[in-house]
Amino acid sequence: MSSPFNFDRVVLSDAYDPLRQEVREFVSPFRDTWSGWKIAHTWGGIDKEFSKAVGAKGWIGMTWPKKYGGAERSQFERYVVVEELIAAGAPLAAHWVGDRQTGPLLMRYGSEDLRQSLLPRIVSGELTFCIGLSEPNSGSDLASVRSKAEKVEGGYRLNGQKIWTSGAHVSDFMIGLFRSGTDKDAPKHAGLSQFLIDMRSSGLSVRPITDLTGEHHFNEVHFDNVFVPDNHLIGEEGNAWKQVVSELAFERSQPDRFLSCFVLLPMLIDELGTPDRLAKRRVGESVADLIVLREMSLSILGQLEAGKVPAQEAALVKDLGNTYEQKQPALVRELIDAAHDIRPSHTLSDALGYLTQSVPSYSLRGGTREILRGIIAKGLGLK
Amino acid sequence: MTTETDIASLISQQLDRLLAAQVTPEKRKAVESGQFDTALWQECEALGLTGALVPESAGGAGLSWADIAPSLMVLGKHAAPVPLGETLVANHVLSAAGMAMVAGPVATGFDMLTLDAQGVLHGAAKSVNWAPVCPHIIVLAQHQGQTHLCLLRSSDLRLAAVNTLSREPAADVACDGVKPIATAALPEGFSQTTLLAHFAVLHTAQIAGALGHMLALCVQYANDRVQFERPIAKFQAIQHALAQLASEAAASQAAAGFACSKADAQAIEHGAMVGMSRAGRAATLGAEIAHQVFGAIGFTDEHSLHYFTRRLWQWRASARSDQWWSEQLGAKVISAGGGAVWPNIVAA
Repeated sequence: MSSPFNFDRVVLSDAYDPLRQEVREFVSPFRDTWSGWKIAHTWGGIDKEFSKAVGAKGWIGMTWPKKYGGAERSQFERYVVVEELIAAGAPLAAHWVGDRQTGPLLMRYGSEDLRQSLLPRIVSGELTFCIGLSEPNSGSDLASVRSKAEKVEGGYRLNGQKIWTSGAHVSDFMIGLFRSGTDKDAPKHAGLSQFLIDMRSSGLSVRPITDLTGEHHFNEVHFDNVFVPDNHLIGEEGNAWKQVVSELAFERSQPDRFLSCFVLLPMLIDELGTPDRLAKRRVGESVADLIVLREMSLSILGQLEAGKVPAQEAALVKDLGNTYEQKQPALVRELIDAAHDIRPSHTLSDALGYLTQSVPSYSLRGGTREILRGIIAKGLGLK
Repeated sequence: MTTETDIASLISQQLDRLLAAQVTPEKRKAVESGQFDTALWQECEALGLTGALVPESAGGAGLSWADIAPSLMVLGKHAAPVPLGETLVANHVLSAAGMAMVAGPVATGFDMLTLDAQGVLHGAAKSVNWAPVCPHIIVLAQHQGQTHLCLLRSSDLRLAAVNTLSREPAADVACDGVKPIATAALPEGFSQTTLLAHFAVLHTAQIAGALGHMLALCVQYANDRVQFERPIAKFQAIQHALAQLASEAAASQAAAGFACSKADAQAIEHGAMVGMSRAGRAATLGAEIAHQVFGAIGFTDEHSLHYFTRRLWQWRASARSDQWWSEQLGAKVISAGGGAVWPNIVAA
């Protein structure tokens, strides 16, 4: 039967168990010092010192070539490290973008001197990157970005504004999407270029946007005649749309797309006392969902490793995964009589307090639910 | 292994072709009114699938659950009006008890009966799917503190027909005073739950196959059906509903793959818990979405959608329900404690 998707089974062999154990032993003493609120941030939390410790273990850029500081380990080993860290609630945001996106992007499209100067510093956990995509009038309709890159002697001059830029205030560099084409009649996906931008550049300013949790993750980033040199153009001028889209199958199928609230589950179980039938059922459903999502995610990783681009499958996993994550705080509320208190002395309340407020963003970030379902529908052949 | 996998994929393709050519809504309707399609059954049996999971040394094909998963999904895809999946699992269970596989369709009772010292059965097996059309039925019985598998001849039994959601033939089977034609002790650890798990894994795969087919039917219909001067596929509400149906179909497929591989790894109960918990809920949501997309026409007897949706409702509840399997999984997870959740999830 011709299926609109493929989820052939891929299993992580137990050859990775020692690595898994090593990650657990590494993270455990850190975890003992983290509050529930901090654990709840998991891969979205910024902790530069922790990222450097992860880097020192060789777990950032671990699949990259040795000549750039990598360890040439497999994507499956990276998967083990990432899922173990996220399940433990480790703060990964200070190196997350560099490890997952910028490094691979530079290796595919960056110049050799950029690779040599930046990749080893990503690997060590020193460098933090942000991604400049959305603009005030370009959210889901990303191809409508208007921030401009104008060719000048020796480089480009950038003008415009980015918004919802996570971590811009703690980043060393941005990978930004700018309109470099001047042809007004060209399709809007054409004429876009990606640049590496030093966040200390003159003319660049960062303004905080406090989110509903009361924290500062997002920013506005303004570009007022910011100069970037020619060798900071990533890939080909005008080719950025293709470059951006090719990352998505990877980005949308990783454990961060379904494990963001995982830390609640062990806490919930330990709080249940003598569970009734409903509690058993709901916990069973949650674990079954998670096992199946992980199966699907691993299948996609296997397909990526085999050189395929399972974009449909990835959109599907992200939509299912985000929906799953978002239900976790509600599951806690369903099974224990959770109050509104957020108490650092009570880890579950602290974690639940943060995650209750944070989950609405999960089906927005990295492609909204509506965009994903549109992609899936198109892939099904709906005309 | 490669050779077996090739054989397995060949068999599933042959089965797909056979069922595509033979199974019509009329044949599904016929079996639902008690007329068994003996000719179709014989063609299915000729493919050699009834002994797929039986070791070669016992006259079977010696395939694994993972090998036959695609075939089990094909059975769901066509809502096949024959108990081929049920029979191949029954023969597998017979071989687990060291008994010979039998020719023809076999039904399985899930209730625990007792077998007395004279070798006579006491008790009844309730709601045995396909019993009215199967010459043989297997049941479980306690005998001298051990669980035994008993092979019964249907003509020795009193059957009282039972209506079920799928309307496929089913019956309560009274076994009092009946002597099995063969009996053997099941291996240590093979419990009633183990038997149920075999069928829950089968039904998980059937659900995955049926949902995949329903998705294709819905996509076709949405592209063809015009309202407000355009195909309803143009409406975002329909697109998003079908995207969700696709997600559920995909998740049930992954659940079936997981369940089958656990069955091969001597962990069939875990496979059933995870597989049926996930696929059962996929069946529930998938049936809702498909009916919403098809509108009133899909609610008619004349349209074939209900052959699939009623089977989804049947399969999610036939070998205990998805709810029950979820509860078993939850009980296991909770009793192991919070700290064990993650290590158990990733344990290969």
